[in-house]
Amino acid sequence: MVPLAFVEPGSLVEVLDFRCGGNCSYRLRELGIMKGCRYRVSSGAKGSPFILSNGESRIGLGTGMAIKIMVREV
Amino acid sequence: MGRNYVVAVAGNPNSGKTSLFNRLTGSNLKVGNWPGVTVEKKEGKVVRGDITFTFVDIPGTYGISARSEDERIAMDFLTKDRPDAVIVVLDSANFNRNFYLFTLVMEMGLKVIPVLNMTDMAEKRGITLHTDRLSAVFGIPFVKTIASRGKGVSDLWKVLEGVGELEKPVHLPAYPKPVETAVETLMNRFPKEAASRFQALGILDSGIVIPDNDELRQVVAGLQGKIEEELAGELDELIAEKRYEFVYSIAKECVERRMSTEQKVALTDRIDRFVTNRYLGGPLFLFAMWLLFFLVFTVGNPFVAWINAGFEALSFLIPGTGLFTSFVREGLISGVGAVLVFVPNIFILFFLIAIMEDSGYLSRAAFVADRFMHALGLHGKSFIPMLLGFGCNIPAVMAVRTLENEKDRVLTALAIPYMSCSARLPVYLLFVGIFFTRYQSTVVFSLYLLGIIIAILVARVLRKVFFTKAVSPLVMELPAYHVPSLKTAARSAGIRTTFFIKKAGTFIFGTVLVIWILASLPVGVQYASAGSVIGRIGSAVAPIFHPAGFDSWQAAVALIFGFLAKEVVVGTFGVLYGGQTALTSAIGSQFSALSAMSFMVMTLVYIPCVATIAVIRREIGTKWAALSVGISVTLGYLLAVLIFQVGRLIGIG
Repeated sequence: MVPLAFVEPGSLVEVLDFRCGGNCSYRLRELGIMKGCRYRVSSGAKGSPFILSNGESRIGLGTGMAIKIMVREV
Repeated sequence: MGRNYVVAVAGNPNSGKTSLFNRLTGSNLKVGNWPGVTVEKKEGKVVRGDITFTFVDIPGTYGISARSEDERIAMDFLTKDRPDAVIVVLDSANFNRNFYLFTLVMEMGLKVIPVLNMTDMAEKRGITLHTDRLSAVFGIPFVKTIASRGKGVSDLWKVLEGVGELEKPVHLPAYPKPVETAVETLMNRFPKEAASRFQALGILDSGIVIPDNDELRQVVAGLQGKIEEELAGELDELIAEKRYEFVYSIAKECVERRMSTEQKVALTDRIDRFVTNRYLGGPLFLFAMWLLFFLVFTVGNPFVAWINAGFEALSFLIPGTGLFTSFVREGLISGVGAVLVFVPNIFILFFLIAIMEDSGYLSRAAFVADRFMHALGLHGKSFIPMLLGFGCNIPAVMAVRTLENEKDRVLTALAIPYMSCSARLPVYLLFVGIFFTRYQSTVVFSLYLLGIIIAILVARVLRKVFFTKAVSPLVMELPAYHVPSLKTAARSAGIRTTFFIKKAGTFIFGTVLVIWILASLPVGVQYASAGSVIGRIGSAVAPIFHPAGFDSWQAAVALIFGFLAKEVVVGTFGVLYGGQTALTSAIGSQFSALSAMSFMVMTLVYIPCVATIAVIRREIGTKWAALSVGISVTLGYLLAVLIFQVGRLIGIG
């Protein structure tokens, strides 16, 4: 289990846990980021935003957020 | 007998909701505010045969809960006002997330008209939605549209005309036994508070505020305890999971993907690789901003010249020397006219911002901005209200409520007044037109840039002083890029420009009237001379501005009345000097290039305007509003003095 912030762009990840408060995990869920779901990390690293894509949906995350999302590389 | 139906229009942001709403309502639009809050509420009445439809635009949201202002407004309207039907606009290419909202609306027990929008985009990506299967599953008609081109809207009208006979959806998510039991208990015992499955579930998972009812509170606590005993994990997470499972099961049956999007690198990803790139992102963003302002001038200026000529001609048509004609000529035409000539520039600015928003670039820009915004103590999302500030500070301050964290809201609201709004633009345009003819867009661009720098510095310092906690992190949907709809952009720019014109027509007109009266008193004085009341007021204040290089009493008067609205600065010059031609030569002789610069900086920084202060006060409180006034006046004056003195030392002007 690693924070999303440490994952290389292009990899496929499974979201395991949110290390943040209720409101923030609600926001993520609402945007379709759910524990147990898989996403492609289409951008990220070196300061650019982390983009989690699943089908046509793209959610951008700042580095601060990417540190709080725990994932597993698939 | 005529029938009346209230139809709410709901949907995710970026689902094409606005386009569809515009298609349905045409020009019959009423723009106001939701009760008690400053979030814009759009309503349109349309008569079809013997039916009157009232369409109400609900704020675009991803979910419905009491967790944010927008979502709360949507929830209150849907659950309390209970419209006759809800159109849910769904982005066909983003089935899962959009259907999540659709599921919530269905659980409210309302009549739902699902609209699968942007089907062309979905088809292009190899996604087909089978409306026949969807209709069979839910027992209600699904309508396919391409709202931006008006396709499918007539099909939607057919469904709307039969809304009286429309059934409610029959297929809803199922929850584990203990949850279902709890929902049933709540709905039976508290039919008012838990009027629908949605409300019962919301009360259980704290998604909505539990109404003030002790008995209900006790029952809820009991039910929550019981569920916790039988099921592991957080209840709100469990409910969301079940809803998504439901959406996935529908997607499996009704959505067909012809090619894996994983294999094909979508155009959006390829563009994103450039625009969010660490090295290219920033320069590209700055270039986009520069292009924006370049277009505002090159496209707008010919129109400005025409309007100007029109006003000049108009004042020649009114001969005579009477008091009334003098008022019409000097007050009305010169004062209000001086402001209205900039309508083309303002329209283009709003139009281009709307285009950027619609194309999908604006949310990327938030991420590009996030890096330095974050470093400087602001939230990446703060960038959007700040960008809106270029149009008008008032809606920009209102837009801070899209930020979830109170500290971010306060800091952003305090930073916005330094964004050059469209009302400052006339001042810049007037001065660059006289002193910087060859470098117009560069000078104006640098003023905009200066505003941004000041905004960030102010936010940075205030965060250090008042808040120590770190910035809350950025999460945002990045919509797929698409060709923006010119019509929607023009309409949105039209609405905002109308607001500007109305402001010019009422508020600015009133101010100009007062200035004209003060410039004509005492009786017998030469109009707008140093001996008039206004001249004496100005002369008393003017010495303060001596160190900044502009100590004419007219400039002092313009700045005093600029408190009311920045457009008035130009309007005042117009009234005091009388007409565009006289205005240009008078300013040319009273200012130098250097003092013009310090005057423009003063205008940019000191106090946004009374209306913005009022909105800041309403949004974040009196204390902050007072602080905002204090900082901006001091800072504006100091900067103007600094520019003039340093400029003189190094020998400019």
